[in-house]
This record gives sequence, structure tokens and C-alpha cells, in this order.
Amino acid sequence: MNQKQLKKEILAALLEVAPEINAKTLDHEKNFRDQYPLDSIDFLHFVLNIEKRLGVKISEIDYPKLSSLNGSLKYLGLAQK
Amino acid sequence: MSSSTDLFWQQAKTALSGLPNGGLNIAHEAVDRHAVGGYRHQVAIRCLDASDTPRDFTYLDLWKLTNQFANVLQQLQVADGDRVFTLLGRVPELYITVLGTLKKGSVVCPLFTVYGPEPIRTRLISGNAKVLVTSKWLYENKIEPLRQSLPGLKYILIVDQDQHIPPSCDNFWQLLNRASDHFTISPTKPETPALLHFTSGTTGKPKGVMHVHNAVVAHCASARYALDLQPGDIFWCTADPGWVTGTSYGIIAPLVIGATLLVDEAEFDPVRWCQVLQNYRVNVWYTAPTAIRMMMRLGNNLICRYDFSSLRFAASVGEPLNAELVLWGKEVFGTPFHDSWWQTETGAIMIANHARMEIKPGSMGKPLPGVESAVIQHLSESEIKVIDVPEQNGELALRRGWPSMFVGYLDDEERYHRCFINDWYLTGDIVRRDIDGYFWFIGRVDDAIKSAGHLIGPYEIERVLLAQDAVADAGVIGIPDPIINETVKAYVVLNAGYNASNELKCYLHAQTRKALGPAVAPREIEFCDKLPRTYSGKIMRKLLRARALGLPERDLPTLDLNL
Repeated sequence: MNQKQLKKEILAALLEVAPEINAKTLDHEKNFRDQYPLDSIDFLHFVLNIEKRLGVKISEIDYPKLSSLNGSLKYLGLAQK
Repeated sequence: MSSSTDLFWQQAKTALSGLPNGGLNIAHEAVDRHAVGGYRHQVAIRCLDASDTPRDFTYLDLWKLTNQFANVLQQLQVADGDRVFTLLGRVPELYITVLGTLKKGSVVCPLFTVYGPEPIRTRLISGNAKVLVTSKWLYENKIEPLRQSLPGLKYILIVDQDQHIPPSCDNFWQLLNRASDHFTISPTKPETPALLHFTSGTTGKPKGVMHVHNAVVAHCASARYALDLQPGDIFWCTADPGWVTGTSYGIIAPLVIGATLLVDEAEFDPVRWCQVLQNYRVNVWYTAPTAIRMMMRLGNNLICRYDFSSLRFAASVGEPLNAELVLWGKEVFGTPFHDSWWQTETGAIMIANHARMEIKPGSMGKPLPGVESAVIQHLSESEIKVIDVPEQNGELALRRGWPSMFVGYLDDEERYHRCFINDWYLTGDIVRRDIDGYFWFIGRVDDAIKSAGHLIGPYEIERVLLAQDAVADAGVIGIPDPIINETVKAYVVLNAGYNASNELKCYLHAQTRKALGPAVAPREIEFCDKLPRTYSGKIMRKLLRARALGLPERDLPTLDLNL
């Protein structure tokens, strides 16, 4: 999966939890939770959605690495290699 | 009250010092008496920010800062009984505001920051807020758009250390720094209103639950019994003060006892929590089942790398704690989780597996000393019967008169009176008492949803959905969830001309999240053709839930009680 497809999947996993998020204006660097009011359950569901969509298993200890779009891209990009 | 419970509370009161002439003030018990006594240089509050840097406030520091805030309120001509609200994360200013307001003799109401604008507006209006203490970000995002609809709100104090305060707001620290750090506590009485918390009911707007200064007697006694809290302990209550647990035990009780209150501003993160427990050497920990379940997902191998040897006692509240979690606590933290039960209305823990008794995993525990409880059956609208035999399901009732019993719902005396029959407060929870006197939670009498430790009223959500053009009818229920106990699910009937598309579902989901915030908004929405209603038009949520779960409609534990 290339970066573009990966980004699409990450955003879809996020919007499934919080459809109020504007994907166009989302800051790639900033923590999702500093931009939108997401609670810890939302974040857990986001990670579980990613696992489902990409067929990967993400260790709990790595969850914080997925707290921004770029963080998710980097982590999941490496995980795929 | 019977004479034995009465005697218990009289004795419990002797742990406090009181004000002259029979007065009582929560902040005096929590701060002032320690600031002039042996604990003056002990850390009262240790605040951790997102970067994990601790900021310590001794009892003496807290005494000065809360005096300054009380003086600020005095200068702003905030009167006794006026309502001061906070909309703040767990930052030092929150604790200063709550305790300073109590010193002034005004009523304090902490709001949860994760609320969307709609719950915030409803609460500020029905609570008749005169002062709001908040941050610049929260003001700009949640308050400013509502400001026109809040004419009673005279002052908004912004806590940021920033010269650029939004127009028509005041700078919290500027006002505080100019104020004297000496203040004579208002001569409040045990029956003077002190704390306001909102809780959800099934119907109507959220209920403003009022507590008086006398509640501190129960805060203090229950923390000793149910949480084994002792002077000098490092105590971590993970609840936000926007919920009653975060005020009764996340501010008041530990300070009254002379413990060090650990406060973490950061949002929940299981790894961080392990680090906090270890690095700050927490002795007593009060948390919630949802958080415990999310930590359990980390796996024992990872958690066992941390050192929890300081942890002496762990307790849980918010929703039933399953037996597996109780025992898991013992395995990884070295202490089982002690479940406790209480409500916004009760003001303090009423039933618990406390330190000096054997835990029955999965049970709520037994009533605390001073609390008289019964399982009751309704005979008619105004008649109840106490069920004497064990192992029977019925509504949990508490004999009125404990010090932290709520004294009213704001502007709804009739609703308050409906909570009582004779001498009994009816809790709305269905329980069973076993042969050993332990209580077991069965369900709710009403349709309130217990999700992630919060009690959520379906009506507040249905109202937001019904305000949408596409929506003809809406019914909200709780669906069992392995992590958060119940997840909020909305059933929506669309108006003619609207297609039940995925786009529309996303749109409605987004609208509810924007209005209500993630803690309250539904996490699932499903379209349906029709909702079950009674002849009088009342939505039958229990039936809706039974259908959603594929349960036999007659076998619902709370339906066969003829309530």
C-alpha cells in the first residue's frame, strides 16, 4: 500500500469515529486530540478501526505513536515493511 | 435516622474542626485548619501537566491562593449563594476556584470540558451561573458562541498566563495577584449550599443536584472507611471534577484528611498511568472500570515491568466492576480493586467493599457505617415495602439523613420529593442483597445509561437528534460493551423525503458529537421505521433495548417489577 492509500485508510478510520473532523484542514503534525475533542474511547476505536482495515495488530504500548496523522503514517508505513 | 447511625455521624463530625458558633465550611476543613497546623508545609496538591512536570502546592500555598480567589469574588460583588462555574481541565486554577468559592460562601459547579456547547449552555442557564472560570481555548471554542444566550453570566475569568484576554473577559491571575492573601471565611452553616453537580435523568433537562457544607462529614468518613485514606498518603482519584467523584474524592476528601492529592492534567493513556502510579508512588488509587479494562489490554507482561510497591489500596466506581477485574488488580497491582457504589445525589460513597472486610468479587459491597439501606418493592406510587428476605431483586433505598444527602434539585422541588417515600430515598438502581448482606447491581429502574463511568440521560441526546430536519423520531439506549459497560446507541426514524444513506448517518453522528461532545454523543446510529411508544406517546426504551439485543421481551429484570 502506498502512502496515499495508507493516508486514505487512516482518515477513513478516524472519520468513522468522529465524522465531524474536516480531513482537508486537519493538521498532519498536530495531535488529533489537540484539534478535535476526542476522548480516550474514540482514540481506542480509531486504533481498532485501523487494525481492522489494514489487517495489522498494534501493540497497546505503540498507541501513542498513532496520535497524529503523520505519526500514524510513519508507524504504519514501517509496520508494513 | 436510627440512633446508631445518628451516633456514627456525630462521632464522624469530631474529626473536623468546624467554624465558630456551630458553623461549618468545606474549605476550612480541607485547607485552613491544615495551613495553620502541622501539615502546613506538606504538599496538598501535586499537579502533573501533559509533559509530566510536577507543580506542588503546600497546604500553606493553597491557603493563600484560595484566600486570594475568595477576595476576588468579594471585589466582584459575588454574593453568598451565587453560583461560580468552572470549565477547566485538571489545572491548579480549578482547585483554587473550587475551594476559594466555598470560602466565600458561594456555590461552585465544575463542568466537564469534554461537553459540547449544548450541555454547557443548558447547565450554565439552569444553574444561573454568575461567574465562569475557564481557559482562553475553551472560551473561544465553547462559550463565546453562546455568550448572547447567557445574560446572567456577569464575569468570565480566563486562567491563561497571557496578556491577550478576549474582550469582556477578565484575567484570572491579574485579579488574583492584586488580591490580599488573607480572608475571613464566610460564616457558613452545615446547611448552607456549597456544591452543585448536574446529573442526567431519563426525561427532561439534566438535574442540578445541590449539596451543603455538611457533606464534608460524609466525604471525610467515607474516604477513611471505603478508601482507607490516611494523612500523608499520596492519593490519586482519576475522575474529572466535572463529575461528582472528581469533586467529593478528587478535591475535598483527601485534603480534609491531610493527604497529598495527585492530579494529572493529561488524558487517559494506560502506559502513562502505570508510570504515574510508579513514579509518584501512589498509595491509594480511586479509578473506574473502563480505565481498568483499558489498562488490562496492555497485557500483564508489560504492566508487571512497573513497580507498584507503594500502592496499598485500589478502588473503583462508576459502573459495576466484574469479578475478573477485581482479581486482576491483585495479580498485577498487588491489591484487588474494591468496588464502591454511590450517586451524585448521595454525595459520598454509600456501599463498598471496604478495607476492613472480605471482598466478594463482582459485588457492590456492604453499606458503610452510618448508612442504612434496604431493598424495596413498590406496592403503589406512594407505597413501598421493605423486602426482608435475601436474594430478591428490588430497588435500593437509603434511609434519609446522612450528611451528604442532596438537599434538592435546582428549580424542581416536585422531582426531589418524588425521590422519597416516607423515610427512604429511592436510588433508581435495582439490586439484590445476598445472604451475607452484600449488594449486587442488577440494572436501572429508569433508562439512564452507564457508559465509561458516566450516567447519561437519553433525553438530552434525543432532543439534539430531533432538532435535525431529517429526523422524525429518535430513541437512545445503552448497548452492553466489553470496555465501557454500555455504549450509547441512537435509533432514528427519518422524515419523508430523506434517504437512509450512510452520508446522512455520518452527518447526524457529526452533528450530535459537535453539540454534545464525545462523552455524551451516541457512538452508533441506526435507522429504523418506527420506535415503540406507549399509548400516551412515551418512548419504551427498555423494549427498544430488548429488541436490539434480541432478548425475550418479558424477561427483563427491570420490567417485571411493576415499577
